[in-house]
Amino acid sequence: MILEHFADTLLTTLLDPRLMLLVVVGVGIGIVLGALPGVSSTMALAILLPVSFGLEPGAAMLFLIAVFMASVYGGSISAILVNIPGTPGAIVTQFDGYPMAQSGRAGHALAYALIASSIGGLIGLTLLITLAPGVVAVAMSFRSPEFAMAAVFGLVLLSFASGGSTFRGILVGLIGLLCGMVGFDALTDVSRFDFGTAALQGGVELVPLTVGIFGLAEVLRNLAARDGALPPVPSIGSMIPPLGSIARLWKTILRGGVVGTFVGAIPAAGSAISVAIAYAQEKRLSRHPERFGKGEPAGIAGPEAANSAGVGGSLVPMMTLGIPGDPITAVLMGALLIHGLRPGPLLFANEPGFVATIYVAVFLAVLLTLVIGFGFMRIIAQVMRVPRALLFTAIALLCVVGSFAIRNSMVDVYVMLFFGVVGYLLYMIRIPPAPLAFGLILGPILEENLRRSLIISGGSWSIFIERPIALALLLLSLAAIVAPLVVPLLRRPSMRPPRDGAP
Amino acid sequence: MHADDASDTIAPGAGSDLLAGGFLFAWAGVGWIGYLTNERLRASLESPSPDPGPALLALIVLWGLTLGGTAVTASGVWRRARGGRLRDGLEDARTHLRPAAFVVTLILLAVLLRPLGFLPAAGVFTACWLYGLTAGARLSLRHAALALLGGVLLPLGLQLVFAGLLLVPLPR
Repeated sequence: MILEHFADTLLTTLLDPRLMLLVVVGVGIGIVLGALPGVSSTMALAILLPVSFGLEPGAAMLFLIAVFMASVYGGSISAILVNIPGTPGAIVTQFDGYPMAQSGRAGHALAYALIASSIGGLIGLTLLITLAPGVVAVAMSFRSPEFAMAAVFGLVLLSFASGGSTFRGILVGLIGLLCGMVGFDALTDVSRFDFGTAALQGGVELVPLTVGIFGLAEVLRNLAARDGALPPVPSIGSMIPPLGSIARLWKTILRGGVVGTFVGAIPAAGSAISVAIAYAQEKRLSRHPERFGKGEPAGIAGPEAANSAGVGGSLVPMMTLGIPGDPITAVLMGALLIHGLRPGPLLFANEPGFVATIYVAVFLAVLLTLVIGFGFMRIIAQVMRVPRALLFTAIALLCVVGSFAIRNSMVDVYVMLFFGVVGYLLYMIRIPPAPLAFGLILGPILEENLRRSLIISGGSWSIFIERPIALALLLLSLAAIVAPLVVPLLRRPSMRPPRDGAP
Repeated sequence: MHADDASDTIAPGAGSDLLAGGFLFAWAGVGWIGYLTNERLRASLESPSPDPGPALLALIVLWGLTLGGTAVTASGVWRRARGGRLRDGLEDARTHLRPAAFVVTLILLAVLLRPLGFLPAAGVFTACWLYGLTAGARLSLRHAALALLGGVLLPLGLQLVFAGLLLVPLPR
């Protein structure tokens, strides 16, 4: 049935010039922002989220997913041309992409990345369409205790993967939960943490928070960093590599795509892990591992396929369980919530047409990234010459405009500024800011299901250990908390890092 | 061992641990004030209703933040006792001057958006920062002209896209 919806939606979109224009603009902006060092995919999506306010949900998703997909590829452009990955997922692409560009084959490197990224994206989409119904079938058996524990598990896992200490990440997640409680309680109408101010009674909106911590805080980080002019952009040359060399990469791209999808589907695993696995795998399987790091096409194609395929994978937990797999899908989920759509198994049952729109968005974004990438690469490469001052000022203005636009309220602008500063402070004290957004998103899910579970059980907490899936999720959450503390203690002395001053 | 070597062998992160602990305590403190001064919220715990009430998760979170903040602070104190310096794990304070100035001007921008309107307020903000970030303290007519141009075109472009094309209102 979903394939029928997919075909219908695809046809409708293709025949609607306004929707097609949105996807084309989204892809163009996504590639450009992804290519700019200092602008991550999350930031790109966060600052463009307000653009979707005036659009209906389907059109908003088409635009945002186009930005998301294209920015994932865009990250590889700066990695190849100037040895600075535009996004974390492109970190491995520079190993072979930059040497290739330095040897006068920048165009070939960009083409390998583009082709692999496109095929990887399609593999990710295919596996998303195939895997999602299975996960939804399992998720349909979830009741309140399972959803409560899934929210806890998501929060712990995402804190674990946000970089830095898991423990501190969880504490920041608790701050997010606290922010999510501001305002009136939906069940009892009791106000919480609003200190009697009308401005806080409506609660903390997700958009100002995400725009603050992923948008403004990143600008502040960049302003704090030492001024470093980007290296000169090399000549791109021909963008058509020998067909034989492309054909030889099919296994590499396929492997990368599969690895990327499955690793991406694990909440919190992230693109940096999938590309590292794909690269290591290609190097291990290669007949010429010594060529890796010196401009080997497989060293670009494998990770790039994994990177793009990860988009499809990361949409699996978000769409089927309502748990964002990473900061980017957290922002995307925020967009869905703004438009009154709650991701989760019921989305598939109640809104199959909308689910198909998301698939169509990924499909069109992949194809148009390929077309625009090949057609306009020389122009896109020039974007890296945009003065950083102009870029950061523009992003800051977008943050202000975007947070105002959600409710036409200056309060949201101040909230955005506040969380921008909070995000920067967290960076200063080496704590990942992303769990703040996860806490805000997962908090209401956790609280609603926690309270409902306790009502069902008559106040007994044993309901969380009597149900096997809830118990498994609880144990996995505990393991994720305890493992980083215990594993170093269990290591053999010879494996431990030397103590201070020890020889 | 050379006297200076001590600085190379001390445990890192005392300063960032203490700041992180303080940060967490600040949030916990605000939360506890919000909880303790809210009679209805506290009373919800005693409610005979089967719903555990809106105070349950709030208390779990506040205790988590308090205990977590204590643990992180204790880690900082322990590192400090082992010889860690307060500056360990932190950057030079001067690094933060530019971001701080940027935030102050953004607050000013937010305050002036209503009285001045979007275009003038955003124009001044953009022109000032474009000049400041490109020319620095130097006097440069070329940079000033470019900054002015940016100050006109950037807000105008945003106005066109948001208010004109997407019908998303801007502050007036």
